[in-house]
Amino acid sequence: MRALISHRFALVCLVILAMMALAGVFGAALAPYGVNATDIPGRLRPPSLEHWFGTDELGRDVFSRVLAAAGVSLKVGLIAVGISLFAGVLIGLLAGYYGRFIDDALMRVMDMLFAFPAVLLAIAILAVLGPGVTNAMIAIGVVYVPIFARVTRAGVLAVREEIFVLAARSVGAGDLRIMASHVLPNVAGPVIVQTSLSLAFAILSEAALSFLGLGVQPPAPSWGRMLFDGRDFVQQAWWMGFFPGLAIFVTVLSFNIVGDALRDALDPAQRSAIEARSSERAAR
Amino acid sequence: MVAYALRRALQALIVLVGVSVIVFTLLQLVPGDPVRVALGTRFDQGTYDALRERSGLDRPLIAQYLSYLGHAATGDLGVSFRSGEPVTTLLLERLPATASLALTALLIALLIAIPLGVLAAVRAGSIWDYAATGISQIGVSVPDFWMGILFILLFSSTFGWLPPSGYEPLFGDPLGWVKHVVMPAAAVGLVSGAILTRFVRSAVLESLGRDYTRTAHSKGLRTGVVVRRHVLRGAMVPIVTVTGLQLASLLGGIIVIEIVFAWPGLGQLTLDAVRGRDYPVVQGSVLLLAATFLVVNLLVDLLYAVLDPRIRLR
Amino acid sequence: MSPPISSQPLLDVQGLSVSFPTRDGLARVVRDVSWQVARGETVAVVGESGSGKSVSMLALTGLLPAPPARIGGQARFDGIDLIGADRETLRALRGDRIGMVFQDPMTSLNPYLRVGRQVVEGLQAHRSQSTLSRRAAHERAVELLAMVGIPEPRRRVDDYPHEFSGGMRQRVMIATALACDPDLLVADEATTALDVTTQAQIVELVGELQSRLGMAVIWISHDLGVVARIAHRVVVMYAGQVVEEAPVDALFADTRHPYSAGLLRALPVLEPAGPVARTASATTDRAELLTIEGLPPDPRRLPPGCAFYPRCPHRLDERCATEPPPLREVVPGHFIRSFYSEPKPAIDRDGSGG
Repeated sequence: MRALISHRFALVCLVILAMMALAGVFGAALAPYGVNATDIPGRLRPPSLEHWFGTDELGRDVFSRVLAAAGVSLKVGLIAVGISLFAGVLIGLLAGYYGRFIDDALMRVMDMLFAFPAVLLAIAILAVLGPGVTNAMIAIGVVYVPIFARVTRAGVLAVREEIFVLAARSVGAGDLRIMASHVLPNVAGPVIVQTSLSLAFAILSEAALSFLGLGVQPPAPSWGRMLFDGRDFVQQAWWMGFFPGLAIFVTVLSFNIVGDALRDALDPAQRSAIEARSSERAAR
Repeated sequence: MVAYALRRALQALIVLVGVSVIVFTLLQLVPGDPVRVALGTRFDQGTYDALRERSGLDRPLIAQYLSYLGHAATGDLGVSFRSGEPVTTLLLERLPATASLALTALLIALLIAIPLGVLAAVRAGSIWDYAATGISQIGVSVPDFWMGILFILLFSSTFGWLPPSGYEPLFGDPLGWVKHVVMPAAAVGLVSGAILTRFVRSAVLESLGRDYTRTAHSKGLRTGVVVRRHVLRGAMVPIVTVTGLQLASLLGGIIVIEIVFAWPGLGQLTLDAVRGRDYPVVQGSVLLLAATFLVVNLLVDLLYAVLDPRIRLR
Repeated sequence: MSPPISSQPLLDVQGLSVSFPTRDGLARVVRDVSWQVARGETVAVVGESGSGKSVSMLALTGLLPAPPARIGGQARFDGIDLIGADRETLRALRGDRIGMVFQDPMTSLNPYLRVGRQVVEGLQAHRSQSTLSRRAAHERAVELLAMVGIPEPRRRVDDYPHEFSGGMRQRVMIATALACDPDLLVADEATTALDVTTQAQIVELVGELQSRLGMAVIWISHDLGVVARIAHRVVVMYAGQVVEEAPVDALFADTRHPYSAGLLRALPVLEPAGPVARTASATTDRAELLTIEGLPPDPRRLPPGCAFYPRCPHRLDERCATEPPPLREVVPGHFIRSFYSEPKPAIDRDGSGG
């Protein structure tokens, strides 16, 4: 029953995400108005048939901007998670496969990164690199490396002993080949699940950073920045903040639901996060 | 018990030193000369030299780090590039605002998560369970700063019940503080609470399935007593654990929500420092927040000993 | 060891059935089970795991959530209807008049509470605060711990479960079950998780307490060796049904059902005459399976005829495969559910076809 409902939800969410992706690619072309087309006399208009989401303080069409910003959000999310995925899986593989000193050294660094509240670490990194979309991707990417490293390492540890037997048998198989052919498939499930959930976090983080003025820079449209502008006009024009926030919410919710459904499908044996966390602490 | 506490404290200390290395390194990664960058148009050679010397930036890297660490240990986090004031003073000025907001948010989160999570677990499969799971899923996905804006829209613009922004000190004007803290704390607390609900539910569900719960029922205890005395007791360790970890996302939420509500706390201070390239302040505030998170989780570890007799006597 | 004579049984179970709806159809875990327990009598319910022995007791005492479980039939405990009873009636019986001990003493005690409190909390639930002061409850806890043979009970009463060994924890569990002087003690695989020596001690303790306190005992176990030493009467269950029921001596000396015979053969030491005196009861489910080939049937897909047919070494003809055998009385007080009947050792051969 529960599984059925969540699967139906997950399908709906996949459709929503597909539409978001379309908006991301063709957003500017689909948009009824130019993304930065200002119309001072028609500023701060409430939602209507011409302007579905109303207009902002410069008379720009909020709907067109929300549509165009989908691309930026998805791009930042994908690239950031791509960075986390690549670095995290690599570190997790090395730590889990070689163990001993390498494991200790790498995982202690991961622990230290993990000791920062995520948004704070991203802000600190952006303080160094300077604000901007590219740097925001890097910052978010770095923040989520430890999670991927941990997930991967756990998967590697589970098969390492079997792998060494295999390695001994198949004379001449190099470490790289063993990792690629035996270890990676074993960690793929949890990593895929983590990817979907991390996309949700990454999009949320991008919105927060852009809201703080550290991510996407105006006048380029971004949901987070539109929310920030909307906050100042909350008394006169609620739609300026409402719709971009709704877009963030729906996108993040979709990634989360798809992630949960993937977990059910790919990784049924995975212990609940709560158990993993508490046992991890107990082991330390 | 003492050995356990010492071991945990030592581990936390090691991570804290690591954190200080990361924070210190950040400054080294700034392209160009941070003092020069910070001074920008206000540049003049005298100020520059003075600031550089006071910040110790003219010495070798290791010496710089060791002296940074040494000073940090005694509460000296350097001076602001902007105002020239000690960073520690700036942080301490902002700390009460942030701490009072964070604790209120945490309280709201727990007041939501524990009853709702327990209800969802005890009535697993019921409409309550679906509602709690749904709310939790929404909570994980909703941006708390958007929620804050919606609150302003509703309670300030529409009903006019609460001030849309600002701050009164808790000990100066308690009523004013309450009026100002409600919305930001609720925005962050509701989101954290929704996330925690999910963990409380699964912890309670696990405890409900334990043999000791069956034993408690077999003694003829009333369901309420079984849940309070046995089930919740068993679920407490994981609940406390995730609450400690959840604090990270709660602090992150606080930083952003302070901007939404013009709450003069550490988040605003940090953000202003980032924008103004006031690196010592950024360093100090990041170090303080990360250290707070670590200390809270150290306390969580020590709390285990109180909650679990098996750890207490080890 | 002869059961005291009593006109009305303490517990009278008639046609009990328990089933669970599953995705692949209804799982019929207990099917039309009837048995009685007299006051002061010890009845052993024996069978492999999954035979429905534990589930019947959980269902009777209201510890089986229903729904999802579906419970049918009739059961009376001292005249009180158990099947139709509301939760509150069953709760009032549990711990007060029916004490229970479960399999794993390592997990059955709450690790976060002192043992003294766990021992008497049932008593506190059933006796009002006015009649049982805090101090009196504490004293009762010490007394109960002493009764089950825990050394230095006054000191140990404030210890936590992890400070006790497995056997000592099971003693604590027994003390808990006996806190309210119950009329019936249900021991559900109470010795299974313990080592052989400890098993023997626990069995001895329960036997001794029973003769001292005069309660009835339902001893649920898969281990006939233990059963031989404690039971007055034995009920053997297979695939949710009673397949043989007999006084303990008769069951061991004159085994009739092929399944019971298989269980007996699985015992490492067997003395054919009378109850087994000292059996190293290290028998596990696995050992039994080695003796009786095959596995119990899936409760969702039970065979149309005799449930034991697929594994039975004596299965006769089409009849065994198609017609479910009824429970029949082969000797007064000795029932079996089989068309076949094992030969009586040495003396004569009972009619086989039935």
